Amino acid sequence: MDPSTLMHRYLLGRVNADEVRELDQRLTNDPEFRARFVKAATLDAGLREIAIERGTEPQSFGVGQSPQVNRNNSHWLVPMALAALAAILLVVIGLQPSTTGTATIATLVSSEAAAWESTLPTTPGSHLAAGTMNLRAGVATIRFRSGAEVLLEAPAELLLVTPMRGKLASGAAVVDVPESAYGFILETPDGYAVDYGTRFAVRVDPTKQQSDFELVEGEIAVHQPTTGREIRLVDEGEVATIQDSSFVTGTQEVIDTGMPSSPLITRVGTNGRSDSVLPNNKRHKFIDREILSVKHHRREKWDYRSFFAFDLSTVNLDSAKEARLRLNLVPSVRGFASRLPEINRFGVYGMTNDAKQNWQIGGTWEDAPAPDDGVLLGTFEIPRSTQRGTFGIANEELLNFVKERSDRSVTFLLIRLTSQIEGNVAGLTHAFASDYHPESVGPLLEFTFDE
Amino acid sequence: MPLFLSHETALRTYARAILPDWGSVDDALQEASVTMLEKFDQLHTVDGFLPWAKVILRFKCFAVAAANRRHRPILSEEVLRLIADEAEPLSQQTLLDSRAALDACMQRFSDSHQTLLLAPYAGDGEVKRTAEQAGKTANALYKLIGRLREKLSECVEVKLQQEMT
Repeated sequence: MDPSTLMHRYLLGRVNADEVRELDQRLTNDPEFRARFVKAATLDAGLREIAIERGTEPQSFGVGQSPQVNRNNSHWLVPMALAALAAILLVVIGLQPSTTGTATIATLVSSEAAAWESTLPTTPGSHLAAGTMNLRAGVATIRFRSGAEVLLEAPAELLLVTPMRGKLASGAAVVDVPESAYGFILETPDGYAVDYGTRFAVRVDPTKQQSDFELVEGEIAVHQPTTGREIRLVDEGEVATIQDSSFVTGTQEVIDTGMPSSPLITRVGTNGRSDSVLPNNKRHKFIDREILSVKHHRREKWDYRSFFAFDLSTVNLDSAKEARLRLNLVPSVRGFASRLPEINRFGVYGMTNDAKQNWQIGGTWEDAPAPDDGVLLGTFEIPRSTQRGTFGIANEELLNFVKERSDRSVTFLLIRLTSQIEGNVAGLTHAFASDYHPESVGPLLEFTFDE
Repeated sequence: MPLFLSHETALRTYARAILPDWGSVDDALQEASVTMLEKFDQLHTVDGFLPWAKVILRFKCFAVAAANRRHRPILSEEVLRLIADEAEPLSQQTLLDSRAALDACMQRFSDSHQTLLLAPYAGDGEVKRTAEQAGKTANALYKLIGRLREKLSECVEVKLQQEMT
C-alpha cells in the first residue's frame, strides 16, 4: 500500500493487523517517513482541535475508538485534594468518552471552580451513569433525569443511584424538585428525605453522624430508618436533625441550643524550637529549617529523626480531658514514595532523660534526643500515597505524660519505625512542617477542656 | 497548574504521535497529569516544564500502549520509541505555527470537504452516515478523507516553509 495512505488509515483507526505490521516496518526503516508520520499526527491533533472548536466533536469518540466500551478509570482514584487539579481535570476529562452502554441517571449541569475526584465524567454537560461524584472544591449542579436538581457544595460526596434517588454521603446540598420529580428521595447515612415538591437543604456530617434537613420551600418528609419515624416539614425554615437515634425538629436556633456545645480547645506551638538530625551531620546540605525530616533505612547512614519542644508552663492542664499531638505532613522532594512499604508507621517518644531536655538547634546526631532517652507514647501510620494531611497521636499516655510535666518544656521525638523496600533507589524522606514552613503549621499540642 | 494548560497542545500532540487512538491519548494525559501534580515539587524552573512533562507522559503512553496491545494490533515498542524520539523536540511554538497554517489551508477546501475532514471526530458512525447519504461506501469515504488529509498536509508544509523564508 502507498505509505501515505497507510499512515492516514492508521491515524483514522482503519488498519488491520497486516497493515500495522507493514507500517511498523516502514517506520523502523525510514527516518524520513517517521518525520512525515509525526507531521501527520500533528495534523490529526490540529483537525481534532478544529472539530472541537466548531462543535462537531461529541462526548464519545469517533476516530480510532479503542475496543473497551466502558472505560472506567477506577485505577486512577488517587487522593487529590488540590483545587489546582480542577483545571487539569476539566481539560483532560473534557474529552472523555461518555458512559456508552450504561443508563444515564443525571447530567452535570454546571460547575463553578469545581475540583472532582470521580470515576464519572466531570465536564459540564456530561451524562452521568450510576456512581459516586466526589466534589473536593467549588460548587456544582447535577440534574437527575427525573428533573430533580442537586446543588452540591464542596467538600461533598453524592451517589447517583437512580433518576429518582440520590445519596449524600457527606457535605451540603440544596435539592430542588419540580413536579416531574415529586417523590424524589435523598438519602443520607442517617436517614432520608422524600421531597413532595420544591426545595430543601441538607447537610451531612459523617464525623458527628448527623444529618440536618431544612425546608426552604414546599414540603418534605424526613425518615429515620432505625426507629421508622417520619416527620413532615411544611413550614419554611423548619429543620429536622437526625443524630444517632435522636430526631429533633424546630427552627435552626432551637436546634442549635438543643445540641451540646463544642468543647474548649487550647493549642500550644513549638515557637520555632524544633530540629532534625542525620548521622553524617552534613546539616548545611540536608537539613531544611522549614521541615522536620524523618526517615528510616536499614543501613542507618541515611536516617533522619526530628524532635520538637513545647513550653507547657503557660497552660493549666489540671482539667484537660484530652491531649493530641498534631503534625502536618508536607510534600517531600527527597526520595521515591514507591520505594516505601504501602503503610509507613511512625513513633512519637516523650523525652524523660532530663540531660537531653536542653538540646540545641543545629546540634549533632550524637547529641540529639534519641529513642533511648524517652518512652514511646504512640504510633501513627501514613500510606505511601499520601504526602499531605494532619497526623499525630491522641491517647491517655500522651495526656498523662504532659500532665506530669505541665510546669516545664517537654520534648517529643519523631522517628519512622518502618524501613524501605530493598534496593538502591532512595526511599522517600517524610517531611513535616516546622514553624518556619511557608504553608503549613508546625507541630501543635492540642488540649480539650470541659467548659 | 496553569503550566499544564499552556502546554496542553504540545503534550496532546506528543501523545497522539505515540498512541493509536484519541481515547488512549486522553487516558495517558489524565494519568500523566496526576503524576505531574504529585511530582511538581521536583520541577525547578518554568522552562523545564515541557521536557519534564514529556518524560512523564512518554512513560504513561508506553504503559497505555502496552495495555492496548492485548486487545488489538499495535505498532511495536521499538517503533513507538522511535516515534516518541521524533516527536519529542516539537515545541508549543512550532505547533502554534502549524495550527495557524492548518487554519489557513482549511479555507482552501470546499465546505463539503471541510465537513468531511472533520467528520471522523463527530462520533461513531458519522462517516458512515455521510457515506449513506451520498450513496457511497464508508470505505470509499475514508479513502477520500485520507487523500484530503494528504493534500492538507502538503499545504501546511508549504505554508510553514514560506513563513520560514
